[in-house]
Amino acid sequence: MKPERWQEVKKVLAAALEREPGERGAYLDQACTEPLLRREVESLIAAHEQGESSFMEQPAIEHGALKRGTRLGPYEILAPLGAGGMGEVYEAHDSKLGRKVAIKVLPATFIHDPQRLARFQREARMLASLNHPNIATIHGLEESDGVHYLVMELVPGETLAERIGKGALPVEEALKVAGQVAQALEAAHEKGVIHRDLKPGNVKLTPEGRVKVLDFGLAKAFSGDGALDPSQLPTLTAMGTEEGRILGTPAYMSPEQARGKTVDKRADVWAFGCLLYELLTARRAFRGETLTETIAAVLEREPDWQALPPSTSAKIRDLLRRCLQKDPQRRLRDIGDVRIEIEEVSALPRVGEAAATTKSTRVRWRGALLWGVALLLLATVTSIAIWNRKSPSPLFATGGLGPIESLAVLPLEELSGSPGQDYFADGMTDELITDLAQIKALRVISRTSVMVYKGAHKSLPDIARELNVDAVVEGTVLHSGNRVRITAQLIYAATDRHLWAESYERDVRDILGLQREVAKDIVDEIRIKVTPEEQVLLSGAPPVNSEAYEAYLKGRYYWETRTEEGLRKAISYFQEAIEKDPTSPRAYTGLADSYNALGSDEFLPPMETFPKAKAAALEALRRDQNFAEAHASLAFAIWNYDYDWKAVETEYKRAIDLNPGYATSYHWYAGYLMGMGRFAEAIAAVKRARELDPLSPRINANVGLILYFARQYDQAIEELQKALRMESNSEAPYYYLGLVYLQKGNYREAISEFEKSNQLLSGGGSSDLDLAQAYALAGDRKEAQTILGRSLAKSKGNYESALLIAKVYAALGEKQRAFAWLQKAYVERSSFLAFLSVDPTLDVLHTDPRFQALLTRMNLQPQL
Amino acid sequence: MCPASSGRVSKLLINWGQGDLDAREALIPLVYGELRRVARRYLGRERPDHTLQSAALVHEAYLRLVHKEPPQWQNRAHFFGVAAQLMRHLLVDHARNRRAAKRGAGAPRLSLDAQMVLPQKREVDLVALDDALNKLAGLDAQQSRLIELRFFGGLSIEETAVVLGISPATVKREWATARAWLQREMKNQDAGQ
Repeated sequence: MKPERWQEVKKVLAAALEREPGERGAYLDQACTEPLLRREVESLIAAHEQGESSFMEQPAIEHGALKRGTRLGPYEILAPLGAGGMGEVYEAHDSKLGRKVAIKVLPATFIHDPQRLARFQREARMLASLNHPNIATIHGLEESDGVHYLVMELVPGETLAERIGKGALPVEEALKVAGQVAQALEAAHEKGVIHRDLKPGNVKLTPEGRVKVLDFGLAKAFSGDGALDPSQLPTLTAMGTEEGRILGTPAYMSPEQARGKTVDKRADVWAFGCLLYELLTARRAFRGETLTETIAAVLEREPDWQALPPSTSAKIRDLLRRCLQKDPQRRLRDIGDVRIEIEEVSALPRVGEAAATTKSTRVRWRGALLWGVALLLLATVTSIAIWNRKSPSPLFATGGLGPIESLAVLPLEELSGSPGQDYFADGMTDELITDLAQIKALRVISRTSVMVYKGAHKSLPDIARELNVDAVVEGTVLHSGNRVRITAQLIYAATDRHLWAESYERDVRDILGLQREVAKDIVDEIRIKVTPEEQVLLSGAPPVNSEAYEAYLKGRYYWETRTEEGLRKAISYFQEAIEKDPTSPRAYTGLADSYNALGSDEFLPPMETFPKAKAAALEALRRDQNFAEAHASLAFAIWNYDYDWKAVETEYKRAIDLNPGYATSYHWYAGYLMGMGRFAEAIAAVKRARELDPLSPRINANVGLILYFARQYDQAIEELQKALRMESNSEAPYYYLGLVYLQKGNYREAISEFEKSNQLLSGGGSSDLDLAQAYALAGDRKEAQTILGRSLAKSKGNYESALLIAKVYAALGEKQRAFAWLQKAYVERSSFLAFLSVDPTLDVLHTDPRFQALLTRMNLQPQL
Repeated sequence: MCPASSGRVSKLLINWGQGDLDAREALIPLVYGELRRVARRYLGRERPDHTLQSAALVHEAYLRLVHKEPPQWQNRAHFFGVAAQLMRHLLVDHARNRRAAKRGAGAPRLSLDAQMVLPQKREVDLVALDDALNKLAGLDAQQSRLIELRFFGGLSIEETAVVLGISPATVKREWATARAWLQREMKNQDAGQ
């Protein structure tokens, strides 16, 4: 065959294969005018039809049953948890979030039916929005390498079936368990989700005594429609020949379900009745030797009421009867009523506060308190009683947990699975951090330090320890079309205990409001002191232009790369964001930061970039004069360009005052302070930055740099080596070490450190000149001259730092040239010229009047 | 993994993404070495009957090679593209050697690892598939490449679409026709043997 011919054949073949086998002949009749073509296509169709349907369906290296150590996306399979009709279930380790999860692999039949899969995906998404302490959370439906699987909360402990196997529960305990099951059902029913397969095997009892209902709504998700044919029930198909177990599900199936009629939430009420009956008696409410007999019992017989323990109160007996009414019309309709009755009977406080059902009330109450209306309310005993009832706060009042004063928001996980969406989840994480960081009483870890944990294999308590925080927020983002869904959970670090979980769904336009709501709920939950002003900050936000917002997030994503290419891309995204929404200060601030970075890393002549950065920061402030980040960006530009130290100090202080949780302000402010020779203050500022951003290599290296400028070289070496032990892939500590060794006269070490730093800076960067300086000081003038010559040649076309060239001449003892280049450095606003008065490498020039003149021009005082 | 080469891989990936084919050539030895290292480690750690997953393997190699770089997904896709081709060589060589060993044709020259065990239930004869793929490449280079990515590289339809710069719908169509062609070709080969 010729390639051209194959193209022809392929076209017809593709169209034929897309049709049902029965329709292919008819299609070929009209598509193939020429018999040879037809024969060719038919022989290929035959090969396709006769061949193994599994041919090449699995990649060359087998997937098979999942063995220990197998990886599915970020999950590593640890052990099988048993197979159900709805697919095999495994215990797995989530390397991204450092926790254990349960993974349910969908049967292959699903994947080959796109409609069924799509339906399942919709269901799963909805189920994942159920957040309740008594419901095992579905984290999401994911796919890797063609394997589709549900990721779910891994619940430790035994199932109620196992528990009942050991005998009936004491009445009080049975009611406690049933009460929690009712709470779970109530929360789900409120969201329109019916369990449909509630049974003792689907409810777990954790070692702490919490009840968790598993597999919520999965029966429907797997079957795909409302009416369940008993023979289609997942549990039935799963259990093979084992007679006793085959009867598992029908024994809890409501009569209408058994008849194949449409099912509503009353089916769950029925199953709940069966479950409670069994808890109290350790016997099935409806039994039979065979499937038919069991169904007959469900449809016709009454449970053996005599079997209930004598201590069962009349109220509970009555409740059971009303739950187990065969006619759904006469059955109890609302599981909420069941829950209330159980609570009244057992007179027990509700176990496991139901966040989903009572949250709105609680937030309202707390809001009132926060607003100071509290005084009135507190005066009335009743309201306190209500407060206590609505908010028993098992977490704080009696839980023995310490207060939460510091928090880390771990990178939100992107659920859509398309890798191009990373920017969105990262952006959301960033925004949440920013919102929370505004609360003065709360220390919130900055972006750089939490991003380290994206894909890290660490447990939450370990992460919390490393970041020195009391609690951790983790969550997911699903961004699809114009809708965004965020789920968030708060975990108390020391005990790895779940404090709160909620799920939110909104239009992208309301994204800022949504983030603030999440932040506000978290703040409510941890009961931190919030000032009225902060409360205003967190209450709602204007709608945003979603296109502008997405462009902004993409800009921030690229800004984080800190490469020339990344920064250029960031600028174009920020500009796009401004075009689409010129009213927001954020994109202007992003623009300012990008130009600042391009200039201070000397990718572009600073002379060009800093004025642009300044202008953008001012535009941002014109839109919102209280936008902290813009004040910091403005200060940074002025520091590099105008040398108006008073203005720099004012702007940084304003930024810190407006948002004390923004690490960057302290970090940059420290830079300014060290240039001024105010080293103790600089160290204090950088330490604050480090508390907020403990893992940022730049911030960690900065402590060493301050000590270098303070001429405390041995301490500087110690700090820099500490920084390297934390992160050996960052170039800054090597570079600063080189500077320190230079001053100590250890030129060989200096050269070696500079080389390491250069290696890490793949392309770009002018640090060749530092090498030249080192060679000059070491006495190798020839090598120094060679490098310098190369840099000078390069400087014709590209920007080279005049300051660094001046330093090489100073090291070579060529004062005349050194000053000429220093003059040029001033004109060009060389990056870090602000360190002029404290820079040890320029000491040799200090006595020269030209140096003093330059200091004066830069409004700097001579130091030392 | 030394940090310098991590930056190098990223840079090569970016260059390749911009159409620099030399960058692709330069990547191959780096990726190949890493794939072998990762594969060996996997095999050393687990029982010999542990099955490998190509995508997991490639993914890990990727993470190790472009450690900490900004996750630019086009780069990732390109990387998987190279890796798929290398996986094909590794696996087919291995299958060929095993075949040779069975026929007693001297000591096998194992390219990956003597311990590497391919699943027993495999229906696809890798050597025959390799021959058929070479033939398909003569008819339609893109289809042959597509099979390589999906089957040997373990790429999803979407990832394959990114690497080849075509739509996922086209990937599905091309996959179906290429598969039919290969099935026929391999059957004929079999009959001819």
